[in-house]
Amino acid sequence: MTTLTQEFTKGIVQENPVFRLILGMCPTLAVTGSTLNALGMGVSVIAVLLCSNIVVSAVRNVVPAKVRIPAYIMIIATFVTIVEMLLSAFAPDLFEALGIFIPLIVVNCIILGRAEAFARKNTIGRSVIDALGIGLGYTLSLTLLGVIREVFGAGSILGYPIMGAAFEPMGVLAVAPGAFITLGILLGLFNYLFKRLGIE
Amino acid sequence: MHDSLKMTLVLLIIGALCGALLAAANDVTAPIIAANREAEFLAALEGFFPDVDSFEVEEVGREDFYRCYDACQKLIGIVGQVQADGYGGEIDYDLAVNTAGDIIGMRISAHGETPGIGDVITKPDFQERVIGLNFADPIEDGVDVDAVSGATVSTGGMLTSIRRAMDIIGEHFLEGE
Amino acid sequence: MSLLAIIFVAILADNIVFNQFLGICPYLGVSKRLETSLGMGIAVIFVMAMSAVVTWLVYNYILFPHLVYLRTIVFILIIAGLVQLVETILKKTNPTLFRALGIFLPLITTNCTILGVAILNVQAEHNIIETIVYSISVAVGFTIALVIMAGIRERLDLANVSSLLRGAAVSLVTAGILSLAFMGFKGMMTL
Repeated sequence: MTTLTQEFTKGIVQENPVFRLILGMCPTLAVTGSTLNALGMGVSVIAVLLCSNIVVSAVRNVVPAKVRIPAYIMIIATFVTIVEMLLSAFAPDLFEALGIFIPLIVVNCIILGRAEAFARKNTIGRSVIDALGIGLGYTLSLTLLGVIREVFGAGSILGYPIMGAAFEPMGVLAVAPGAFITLGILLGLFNYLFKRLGIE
Repeated sequence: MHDSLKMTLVLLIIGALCGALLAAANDVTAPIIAANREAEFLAALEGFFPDVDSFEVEEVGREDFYRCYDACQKLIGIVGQVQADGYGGEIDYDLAVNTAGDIIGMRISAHGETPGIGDVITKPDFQERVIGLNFADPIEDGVDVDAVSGATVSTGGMLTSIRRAMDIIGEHFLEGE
Repeated sequence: MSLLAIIFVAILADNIVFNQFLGICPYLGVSKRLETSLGMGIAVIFVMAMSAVVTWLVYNYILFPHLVYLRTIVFILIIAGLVQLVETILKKTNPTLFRALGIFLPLITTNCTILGVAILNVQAEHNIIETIVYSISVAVGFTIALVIMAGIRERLDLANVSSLLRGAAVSLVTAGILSLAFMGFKGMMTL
């Protein structure tokens, strides 16, 4: 039996959704043009993942196995819509910036993946820890990408210029090709790092 | 039989609970969202017409135009939420025109133009070329206003769209005022 | 907005994979062989067109204007149900086609392009004709992206790529270069 600490850290390192499991790539590429959007997406995913893990774990003995997927999809879609409403009401700028990628959290493989692989077999407590770990791992990865792309692509961080007036922003990092190439190179770097640390 | 009944029942109950939860969340957030939107519009309109007190929306084609009134219900100007064809898709912008038909301001609200090239449309240099033009002016690239060299698709698209918006404003809103 | 412009923009200028970042998971996962990519692409075209029409009808005639907040949950259930239905019907009526497309169908439910396009259609206030044309064009664009990538991947497998970059990393960098190429289509025509 793994300890709770291990359960938490596995989502950040060994089972990091972006760099290890290569899941949830669409928003990873799409919203990381700025640090703030990346953070906002990460926090939205944590919120949905936490709620869906709790509910899926709570109903794990009630829902018949055959219809579990449609049931999970309904639960996830409900929480996604609630997050969408809250963002629209209390953070309209972020809501505009993330656009279609908020409703698309429904089909983010991470959420359904955790429901299927973890929450339906574990207690509510462990499912909460799992959601926080995986969610934090996802948020950190997104933020890292967001910081790199914003610093070099726009010369700022969270909107504040930090690179000085002489810095000529590398515009390509802010647009689509930059997203793919930055993530590809980071993935290679992390592969190297994990290999050196002996994590397979 | 018993099994499939149970499955249907469980799904139905979950569906009903989800629906109820969403309806409740919608009841709470919908008024806040609507109020936000109205406050945002009014703030944007105040940027152009500081005296604005109320507004009326009218849709022409697929675009919205706002009639702005001061506290005495006198028309002070029109703001169009219009679109231009840019290099990277549609450019959404607000165009403010006073009752004399002069452009007094513009604000780009969303665009997909290339950073460092097409995004000059958001810079004061380009906007100053446009502000002050009257709807009786030709507003044509190379005639009374120039597109920005190196970004002719973005800025030319803007000029074409401004001309079109001015025609709409002139025809629908200012005639007979 | 002419239909021709919709087709051009949806397939090339705003390619769903290279420019809109949708459908990345199947793009990375499936595009290993030319044949499977084509199969997946055809399955996506088929399901995308159907689901777009059904979701459009449901949204405009049932959900709009009072129940729009149920959009996400209703759309995803429709898509999951449709995929199930297509699978069952194909199995019974056309086993050959089922063998060709069957393995891709379950994957499609979680393909974010399907839900994405359904939402984009109602957000852009497309009419029914525009919806059909747009959805098929997007799916064709997706297929093209998949097939191009599969062709490159088949050759990449023979190349001497560092073990650290093998798989997803090098695919992403390749996608970046392809995306740069597709950026050239921008500005040729806009919606």
